[in-house]
Amino acid sequence: MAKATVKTTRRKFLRRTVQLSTALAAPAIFPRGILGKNSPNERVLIGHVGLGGMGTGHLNFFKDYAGALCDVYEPHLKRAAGIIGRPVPVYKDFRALLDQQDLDGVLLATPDHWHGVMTVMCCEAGKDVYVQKPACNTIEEGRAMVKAAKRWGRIVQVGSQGRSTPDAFFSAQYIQNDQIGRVKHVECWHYPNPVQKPSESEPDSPPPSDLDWDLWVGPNRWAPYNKQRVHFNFRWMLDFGGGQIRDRGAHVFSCAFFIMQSDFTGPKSVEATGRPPERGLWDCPTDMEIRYEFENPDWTMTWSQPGPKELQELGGFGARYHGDKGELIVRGGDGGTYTEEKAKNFAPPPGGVIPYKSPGHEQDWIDCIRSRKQPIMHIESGVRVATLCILGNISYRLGRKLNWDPITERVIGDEEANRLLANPTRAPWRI
Amino acid sequence: MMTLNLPLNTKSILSRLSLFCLCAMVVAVTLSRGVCRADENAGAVKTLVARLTSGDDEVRLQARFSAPKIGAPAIAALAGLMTHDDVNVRIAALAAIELIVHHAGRPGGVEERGAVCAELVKLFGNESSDVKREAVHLLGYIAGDGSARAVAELLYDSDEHVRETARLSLERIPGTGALEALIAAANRAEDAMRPRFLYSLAKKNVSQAVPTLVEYSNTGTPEVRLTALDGLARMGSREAIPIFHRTLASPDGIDVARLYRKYLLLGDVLQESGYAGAAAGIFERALESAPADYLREHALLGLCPAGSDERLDLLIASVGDRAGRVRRLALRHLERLGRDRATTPLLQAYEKADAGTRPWILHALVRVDRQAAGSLLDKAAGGSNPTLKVVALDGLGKLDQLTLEQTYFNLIKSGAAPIVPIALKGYLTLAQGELSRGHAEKATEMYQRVLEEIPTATVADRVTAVDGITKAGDFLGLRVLSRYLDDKTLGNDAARGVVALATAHGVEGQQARVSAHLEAVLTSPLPRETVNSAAEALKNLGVDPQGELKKKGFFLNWMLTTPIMDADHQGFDIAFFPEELLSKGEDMGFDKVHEIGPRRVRWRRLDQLSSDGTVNLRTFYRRTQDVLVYGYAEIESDADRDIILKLASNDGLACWVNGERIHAVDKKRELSIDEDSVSTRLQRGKNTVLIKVTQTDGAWAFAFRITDANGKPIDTSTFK
Repeated sequence: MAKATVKTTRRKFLRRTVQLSTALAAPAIFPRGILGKNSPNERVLIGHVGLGGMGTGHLNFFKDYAGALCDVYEPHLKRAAGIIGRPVPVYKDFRALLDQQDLDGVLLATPDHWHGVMTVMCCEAGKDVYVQKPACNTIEEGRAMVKAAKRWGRIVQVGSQGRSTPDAFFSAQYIQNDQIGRVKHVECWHYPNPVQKPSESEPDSPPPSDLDWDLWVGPNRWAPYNKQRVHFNFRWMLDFGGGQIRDRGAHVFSCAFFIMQSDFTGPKSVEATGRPPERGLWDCPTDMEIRYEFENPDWTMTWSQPGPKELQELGGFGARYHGDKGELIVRGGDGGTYTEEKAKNFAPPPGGVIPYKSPGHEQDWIDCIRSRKQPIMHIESGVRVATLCILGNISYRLGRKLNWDPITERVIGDEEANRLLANPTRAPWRI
Repeated sequence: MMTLNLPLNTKSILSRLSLFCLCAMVVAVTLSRGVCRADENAGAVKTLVARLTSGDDEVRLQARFSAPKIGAPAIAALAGLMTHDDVNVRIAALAAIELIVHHAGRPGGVEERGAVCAELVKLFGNESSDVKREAVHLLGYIAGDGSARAVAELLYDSDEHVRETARLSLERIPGTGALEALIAAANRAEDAMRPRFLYSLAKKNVSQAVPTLVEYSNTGTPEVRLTALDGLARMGSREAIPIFHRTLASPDGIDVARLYRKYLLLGDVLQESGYAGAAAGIFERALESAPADYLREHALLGLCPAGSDERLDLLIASVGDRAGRVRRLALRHLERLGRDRATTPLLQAYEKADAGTRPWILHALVRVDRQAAGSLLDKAAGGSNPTLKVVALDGLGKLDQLTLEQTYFNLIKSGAAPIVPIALKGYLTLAQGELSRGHAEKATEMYQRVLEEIPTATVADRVTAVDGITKAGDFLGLRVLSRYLDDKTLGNDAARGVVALATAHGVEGQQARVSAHLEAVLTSPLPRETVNSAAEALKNLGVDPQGELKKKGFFLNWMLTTPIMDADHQGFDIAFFPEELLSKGEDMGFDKVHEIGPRRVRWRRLDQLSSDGTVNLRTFYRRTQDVLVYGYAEIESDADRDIILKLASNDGLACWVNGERIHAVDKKRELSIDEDSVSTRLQRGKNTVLIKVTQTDGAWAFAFRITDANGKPIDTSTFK
């Protein structure tokens, strides 16, 4: 009996140890991170579509939320399955994933040309959506996404995570509390688009057997497989990605619209010039200058690749906000967004403006899935930001200034430009 | 007309002659100018072609910019360059044509546009499908009715991508020509192809498309009919309503959920177009009979937009709906209306409601106006209706009633949709209460019931149960959680719980009992960090997680570089590090960053467990295509001895021991354990091993096993 008593005592001791350590000092007994970073009652199930670089990055946050994986490229799918470990359903065709009823949301980290069609289809399947930036490839896609989200009551977060960073908050708080006066010019800069090296030249070829090329091209007009077109490189093709003005412009402009409180507006004119790459398949301009004019209130935004020397020397990309009382430089604009110390140290006066503070971009989405409130980069805002990128590229392609009506979302007096606002979709895809 | 009757005199003859001569001169000058312009154009085109075929990148680039000045006359020659051998010439030629098209497409460029369109249409006769495809694509930007017929002819081209691009172009080109071409194509197409033309027709959004869409919404394959209905819905055609109703009554092969999506789309478009009555009819029917919760949720949203109290009765009725999505939407919208607009109607509805409905109205009232619900809650909490009682207790925040455990469980098992989540919340609250009072075994049992006996529990509820079992810390929980290691949603949570519980119980001397559970984590499909945490826990218990593999001779203690780019697959013979020196143990900067090619390379310790003795590089790294890595190891041997290295790799492998390259296989191959055998000798003291493993794509791994000279495995855990 003595043995039994000892055993009982030890069990009680152990229970108390575990309970106490869980409540007060979990790391003392549980390995770091062993209980996960989110409380169980926040758990929703997410389907992941597109598992390349960005998709894999998201998996690290959503590892416990992952309820399905999907990619048209088998190695990506296998790698992702290895990351989350658990035997969740895997798909090549995202339409099958949409039929999985237990998924609450879908995270789309596909190349840009898929964002519009997939977001609409996800909404129509009753799923909430986190779609990578830029939200859309055309204005028509953007409108369809906004309508689908509204009609189906879906939460759609666009992956411009810069505005969820602390420094974007500090910047917005600083400027919205009039610390540099009225902002007349937002001067964005970015290093140039790459030029394909002669050694990187690849002939068109049959796609590898583990890639479903037809599904990769999806709604876009058809193009032959080329190693320089697929995976990360789609960024440098106007028809698929659209270059730095989209890849990073969607970040820098997102922060600018957040800081300038311009989420539901658009420019009255856009004028772009640029220099195309002198060789290779990639056709996005290496150097680029764009000028956006806004009215009511009047301000200007410019995008420069590579930008003024003093800004280039700060590295990477970002924006300088010129106010009539001072300036503020916000470097980066994506996950790495950095503002000046004066903005970080600024405390708003009583009654001052306190911008929305995101708990983190992915977490914001999860919170909004549960609360049904609009996330920090809701789809309307995402589309308005993408519109800047789209119009910049159209102006560059056409070689002329566009006069834009942000209400009707049409180019004034330019039939050809208006035809470029939509891309008819290859069958069987529809927008 | 007097002058007409005058006889011809010399003066008039001369006058007429001079007029004739003047006209002749004008014609001659005009013709000569035309000829000159043609000559000039021919020369400019020739120069353009010469510059575009230059080997100088900058010359080619500047040549493109000059193309719009020449315009239409350059197109044929540029198309000729689109099949050039040099890809950069092909790209520049297409870019030049595109610049011409956009220049002609500018406001005011009408005349040039016609000429450019005509030249592009001529390219439809080109032998190259690429040329035709690009030409018809570019026409879509600027063409009008005049080109539509020619574009339509490409709908029947032999190349499928040309055909499809022609359809996309017709979708873009405005006017009746394109519309008629699409109608004709829809009529002529086989059933498999017809949907794409019907879709393009709908995108035109013009009334002339309706008859064709109506026709095909009644006939053909399910996909044809559904696409036609989709088109009518997009256009907000009220003619579609009775067709939808007929089809819903008899879908005849059409997927009903998809059909309802289109039906709801029609409702949306009609509502947005101001046909509220017609839209409401659609939403009401969908709310009543749509086959999925998300479709019914949409229907309610259409009937009761946020902030609208026009259909308050419907919102109140929906708080007890069978579907969680519908209930939650109704509650949110009632909350949004606030106490001013929703409290009185809710109270009135409560008074009139029967016993079956009252709980849900009370539940909504609590959300909208807790104060107004106060007296009703107290009364209901003391009543005999179990459902109403539980809802009231939830509203009062008093679910922690020990006497209600069985009531909760019965209500959960009853499966009545609205009460299940509240009863389950009550049950989990009780379990949490047991946990707080230190009744770990009881709490564990309750959580176990949630996992094993309540199939309707949500993922969040199940995760809460796993979390509760972990926190309870009872040994029973270890066995329970181990059963869920393969679960697709709970696996990782369960594994983390197993590690936590095993860690806690293992320190008390139950190593043998808990290590089996930890080893199960090692072999389960779980994230690397979870598996590593289990391995760490095993180590803390004095158990080597890789012990069995090491006994078989597998060597797993490596330093590896991050992947080094090897795009042309020549890296096997390139020394990215001084290989000989490195394999002699010279310090090559294991803690430094090395600039190799376009990337920075670091050394990192292999912290990934092996399940079968192989080192899986594909799961260890993110970049796993066209790369190679080095692996470095030091082996302390207590004596000089002959050994055999049993090697395997996917793809190539080179191996050095103590500065000497003893093995090299430079080929793409599958991994087969022990495929290569290499005899070598370990010296007493420190020995250094260097390997290099190449990779094209797909699987990427190696295995390194050590045996004595007779082939008997050497337990590598004996190496220092």
